[in-house]
Amino acid sequence: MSQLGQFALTLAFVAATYSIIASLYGVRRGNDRLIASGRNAGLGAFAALTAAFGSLFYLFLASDFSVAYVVSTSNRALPYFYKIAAIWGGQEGSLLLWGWILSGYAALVLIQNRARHAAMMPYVTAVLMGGLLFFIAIILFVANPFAELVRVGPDGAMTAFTAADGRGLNPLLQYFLNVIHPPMLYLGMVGFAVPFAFAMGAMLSRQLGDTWIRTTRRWTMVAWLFLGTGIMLGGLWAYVELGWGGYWAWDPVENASLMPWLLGTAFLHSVMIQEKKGMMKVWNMVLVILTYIGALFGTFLTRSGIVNSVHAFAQSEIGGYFLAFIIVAAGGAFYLLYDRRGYLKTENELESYASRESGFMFNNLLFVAACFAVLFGTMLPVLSEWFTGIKMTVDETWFNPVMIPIGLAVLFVTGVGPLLAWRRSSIGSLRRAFTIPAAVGVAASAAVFAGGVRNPYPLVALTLAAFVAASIAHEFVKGTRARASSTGERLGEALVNLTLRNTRRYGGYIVHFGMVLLFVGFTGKAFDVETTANMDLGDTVTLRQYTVRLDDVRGERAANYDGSRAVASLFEDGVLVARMFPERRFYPASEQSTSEVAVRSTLIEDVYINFAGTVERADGAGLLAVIQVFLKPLVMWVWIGGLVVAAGTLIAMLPNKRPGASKRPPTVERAEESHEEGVHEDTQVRA
Amino acid sequence: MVYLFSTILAAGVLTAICWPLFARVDDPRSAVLEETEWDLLQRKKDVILGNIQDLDFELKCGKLSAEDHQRIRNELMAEVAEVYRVIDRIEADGDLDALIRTAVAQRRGPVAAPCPGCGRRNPPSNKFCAECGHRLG
Repeated sequence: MSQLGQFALTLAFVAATYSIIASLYGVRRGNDRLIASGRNAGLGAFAALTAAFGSLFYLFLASDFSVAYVVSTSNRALPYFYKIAAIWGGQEGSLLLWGWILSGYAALVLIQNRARHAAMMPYVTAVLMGGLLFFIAIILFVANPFAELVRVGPDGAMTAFTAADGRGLNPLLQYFLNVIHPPMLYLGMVGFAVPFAFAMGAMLSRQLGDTWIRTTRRWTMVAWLFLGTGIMLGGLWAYVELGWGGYWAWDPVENASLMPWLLGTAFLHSVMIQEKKGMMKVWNMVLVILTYIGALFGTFLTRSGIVNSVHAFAQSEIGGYFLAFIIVAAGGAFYLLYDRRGYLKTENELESYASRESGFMFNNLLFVAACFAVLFGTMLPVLSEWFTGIKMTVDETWFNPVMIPIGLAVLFVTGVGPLLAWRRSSIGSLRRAFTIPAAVGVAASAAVFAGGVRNPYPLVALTLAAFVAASIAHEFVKGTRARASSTGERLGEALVNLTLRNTRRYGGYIVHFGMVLLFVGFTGKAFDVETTANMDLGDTVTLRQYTVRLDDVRGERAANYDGSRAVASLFEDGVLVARMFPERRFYPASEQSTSEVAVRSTLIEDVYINFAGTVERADGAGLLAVIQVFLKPLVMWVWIGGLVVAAGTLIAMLPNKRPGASKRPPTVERAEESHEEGVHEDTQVRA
Repeated sequence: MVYLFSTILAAGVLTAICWPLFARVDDPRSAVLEETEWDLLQRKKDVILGNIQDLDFELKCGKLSAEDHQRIRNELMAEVAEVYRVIDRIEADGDLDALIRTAVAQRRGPVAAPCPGCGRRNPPSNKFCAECGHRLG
């Protein structure tokens, strides 16, 4: 089956190469047949990569240990479920997953637009296939997952060899979320290739009106949703699997995924300015290019071994190729942007700083500043080593003082921006819009202060969270009332229709609300407490109102690991509230130990117990369990916030509901309805 | 088995690639102009009308004062009126006919690069631009 994989990869390589040549030559000669043939070759590349991925899938399920990559990330005793995760548990397989996803996106784009955007699509095809070709080449020539295991004899001769068993999947990756977390992340990172391809296609074909930006915006939202979901799942994985009680550590791999997310967020906002006002056209191009380059650079960072990371699982010599590709892609894109700048002239100027437009601009500045801060912090160990010879350690003590103020400023703009009117807001308008949200913010601040919080960051964060939540609620209330009064709908009906008729705006507000919840969750970190105790059976440890009693430690054997399972009783103010089972496991195949933490979550706080290992008693008579207990307030709101963000994004991606039969005669202006598709009653304004 | 799969895969991909090369093209696509000045003006008109509707809704929501609303609305109305004027001028000057003629010509024959002098798309056989006389590469 590895021969089929190898053959399919080669076929994909040929098809992608042909697709680029046929598309570019076809568009130059105006040859529709050649363009269609190039498009089909792109679909062929997807079919071939699907076959390649399918082969690898089969090799893992069949535990074919004649293949070097299967040996490196799998073993016979690994449950089937984790054999799937093992496919992308290392460099070669994860690159193939990347390539396959990219070819899938390309196929979707080619099918969706087969009869649209004729001038632009051949270039879009060529750019997508260009990116794909790079990945296929790397997979085929540098990190081939189908390479056979060989034994080198004393005379230097290499003979094929089948291992008795594999080295197993890194135990930290043996967690159910890890089966979906990497594909989600890749769907996000790779997805940014589509907006990039449309941006390049628009510039190459000089079709720089609003066609490309509308198509690009939707695809960016898809990639952004997947990337955000991937990041959240990664946080959840870190929280329950790494055993240190946190969900984010500013690790380079985490930062690598955060940077394109931040840039994508900036683009999703500034794109609205371009659509509505014809402004920021060059800037949007820059953001689309940087988002894609950011995704590539993140991949380069984590795979080149240039930065240390707790889970840079896939380090090899591919870094140089990636860097070369990034330089070519960025250089080409920015040259093209320079060359086509004449087509991207702004149609309007900023009229006032107190306007929605300026709110969007501040938002953009903050997101880009955040991205550069993350980039700088991630690169600081490398830079410091280059310039001073000493490698700096950059962790949350560097990141938090930099990122928290930026985060709070973003939160502030999230609340202020939507309250500002387009063009300019007079003092009267500002007062009208801000009174209620500001009052709620002040009240929340007083309540939090009265509750004993004196640390400025949580105080400001919770105040802003209340302000933003109030401003969002205010927007929904005002919109619903206005709609209900003009259509005669009941309030509930008006709320639903209001959202469905302008999914982008109100879905966006829901996303903002999710971000508020996330910030509330982050704030909880300021109130974390923890303790560690070496415990014998029957011992207790107390943290605030909670007491943990170690009742038992049982040995357990599974096919893939040996474990010790602690049984602990959790008391809150003396009352038994839960039985918890933290575990310590040892995986013989990879000779690694892991902790399986036990968490009791409520909306107020998590009690998080980690069985960190054992130590010998002072008298030498047996072992004591090392039990860490963490009290982590508000963590649940991080996950709830993530879900709300995802739900809001899905709503924002829905097409707007078309105006239906109104309960009132059409003399009433349906002002809140969408204008995206450009259906208007011209006579209203033409008079 | 492996050889059978490989052969089927290769044959399928090759067929997909070759098929359009020999198929009849009834509806040439590469010649379609999507973003003529006309299209862009229509879209611009839609966007400004949308902005006016947004503005009206913001007034209803109490987000801005009646004076602000009226002033901005007047400005937007002036903008959209200007767009209509340009559209009317194109129609009156017969530029629309010219646009259609160009589009039809493009659909009939292969697409040429726009003239470096004036941007007009000429048939590929032309050595000089029919609009401004610029030499075509």
